[in-house]
Amino acid sequence: MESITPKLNKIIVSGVKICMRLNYSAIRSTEFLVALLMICSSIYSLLNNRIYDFFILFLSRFLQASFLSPIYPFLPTLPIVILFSVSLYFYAMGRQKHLDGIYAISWLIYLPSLLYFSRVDWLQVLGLPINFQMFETKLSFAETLIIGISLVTGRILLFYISQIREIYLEMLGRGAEKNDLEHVLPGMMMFTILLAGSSTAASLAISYLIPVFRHLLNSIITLLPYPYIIIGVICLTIIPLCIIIYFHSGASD
Amino acid sequence: MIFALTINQPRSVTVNRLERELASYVDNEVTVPLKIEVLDGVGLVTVADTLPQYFKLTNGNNFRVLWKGIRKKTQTISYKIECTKRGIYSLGPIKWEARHPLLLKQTRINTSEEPFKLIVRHKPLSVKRIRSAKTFSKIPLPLGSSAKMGITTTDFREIRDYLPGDPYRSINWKATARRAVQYGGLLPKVNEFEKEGKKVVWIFLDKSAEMSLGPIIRNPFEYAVQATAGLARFYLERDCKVGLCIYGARGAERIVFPDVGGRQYYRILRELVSVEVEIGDHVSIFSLKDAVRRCRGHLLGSNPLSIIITTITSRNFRYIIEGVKEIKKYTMPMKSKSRQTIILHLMAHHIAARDFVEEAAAELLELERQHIIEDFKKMGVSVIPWNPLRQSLTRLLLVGLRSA
Repeated sequence: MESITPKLNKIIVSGVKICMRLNYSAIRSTEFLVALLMICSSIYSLLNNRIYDFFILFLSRFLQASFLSPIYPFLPTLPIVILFSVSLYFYAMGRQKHLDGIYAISWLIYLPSLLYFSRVDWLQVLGLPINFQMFETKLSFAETLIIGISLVTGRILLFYISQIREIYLEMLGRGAEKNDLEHVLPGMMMFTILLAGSSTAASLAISYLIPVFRHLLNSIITLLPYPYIIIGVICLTIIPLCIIIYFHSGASD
Repeated sequence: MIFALTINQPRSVTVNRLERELASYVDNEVTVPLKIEVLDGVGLVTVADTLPQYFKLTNGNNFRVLWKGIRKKTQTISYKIECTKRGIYSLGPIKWEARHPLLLKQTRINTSEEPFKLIVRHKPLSVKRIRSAKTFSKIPLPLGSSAKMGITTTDFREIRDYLPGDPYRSINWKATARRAVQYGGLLPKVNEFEKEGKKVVWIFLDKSAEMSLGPIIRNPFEYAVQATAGLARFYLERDCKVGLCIYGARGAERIVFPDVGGRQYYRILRELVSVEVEIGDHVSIFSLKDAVRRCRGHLLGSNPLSIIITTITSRNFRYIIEGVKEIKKYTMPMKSKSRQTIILHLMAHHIAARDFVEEAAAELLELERQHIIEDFKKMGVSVIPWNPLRQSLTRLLLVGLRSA
């Protein structure tokens, strides 16, 4: 068999020339970095939230009265260690559903900070004795927004990177050469990163442009005879419907 | 998402073969080059060339994965294969699939019908070193044979019945009509002229199930085919006319009538390249006898050297004897000591033996057959046992020379 010598080949992805090869461990490392970024940013938002203080207070009272009092000095770091451990377990399992678990955990611990900036206090609307003010965060709106966007971007990246990894394993199983795959992977990775990057940029742009056009949009919405909730529901129904119709048209093609 | 959906997976993938037909020898490497062109779209493209049975991938890969970026992609790939069995093979079709980079659209799967014909033959046996095979070799030249076919002279010999293989222009229409009116005979009559004397060799190749012992790529039949090609070449190079009859359990199946020259050699090779050994457990009583009967028109009068390539077993030796008797009916006895019928006996158990113990067992079985071989010798038939794993055909031809 002819020996395969590693060479740096030029790969063109969307007009951008890059010189690289990627192997399986590089894909896994990228997944690890993305997962770590998601967990770290969500934990950062949790640490800056009042609910974390409430949680620690509740735990300390509970532990003082129980046999677990020796772990009391480590209490502030305990939830973080647990979160990291669970995330690491999900990463080690490596399947799509496990990576979704990382995303779900991240959102769960980030959600209080996001709700704090909500203009509609659902808890008050429902008549409960608590409100979103209990989720008060030390972070600014911009910081919270960036964390939220990074979580969504991370989710997109994790989904497509794991898909690339599955393609890699499938192709290997079908008898493809590693050398071929190592030249194909950078192209796919770059495409995924471009997609995620453009989504992030678009989300940031919309977030910062909305306040600029607020008055214009308000004047349009007030002209509509229906409450904004109904408009929102209609929009949320129409958008997935359009996507489904688009995919069906693609399938028949 | 919208950005990704605006991009399509490659639609027009063209895979062309740079070669359409190749000829090779068994166990030789063949390079199969392919040119892949992807004109549009972005995504992953896989190309798979289908290999037939008996092929071994020795270098490169027949399944390739490519990345198609924005620009047009053209790539030439090649891989090397080795064929382990003779035959005419057709490679392909070439299957390709194009995937969307994010799998958001349906994968396109298509095939490219690019035929590639590969003719695989056995390596020709070189017998050039035997300068005086007539004198020393166990494989003799047909000393006393006179040709029945060959370059026709103007000397009229006789009018006889038409036989398959006779040219139409030799039909004597007047004699045919006269015969039909007088006796009601249906066969046309042909004019027979004297032929220029060419020595004739008939090779009878056994393709019955007895020859299929052992692995499919290294069974006695494969060696028999190799020997047939080698012997045909050996005699054709010495200006003999060589005929071939391939017979199985149902008698003669393919006949190449005797002729001379390079074209005859390629005619024989063409038959040999596509012939397959029979699978089953039945031995026909009439196999060789029937084959000889089918060729009798060409045996009569020519007194050819007949070489039967088979493996003698306790099951089939009686039928071989029947066949030999049938050959003797159509040939004249020779005054010289040279035998006019030769059996090249392939030692099938030796070929199929996998280790030392089986080799010893094969040796014992071969000893058991000695009395059968003696019977053949008494009939005036020369039996040459051949173990191709130990002795090449060239060596077999030289063995007499060495002992001398």
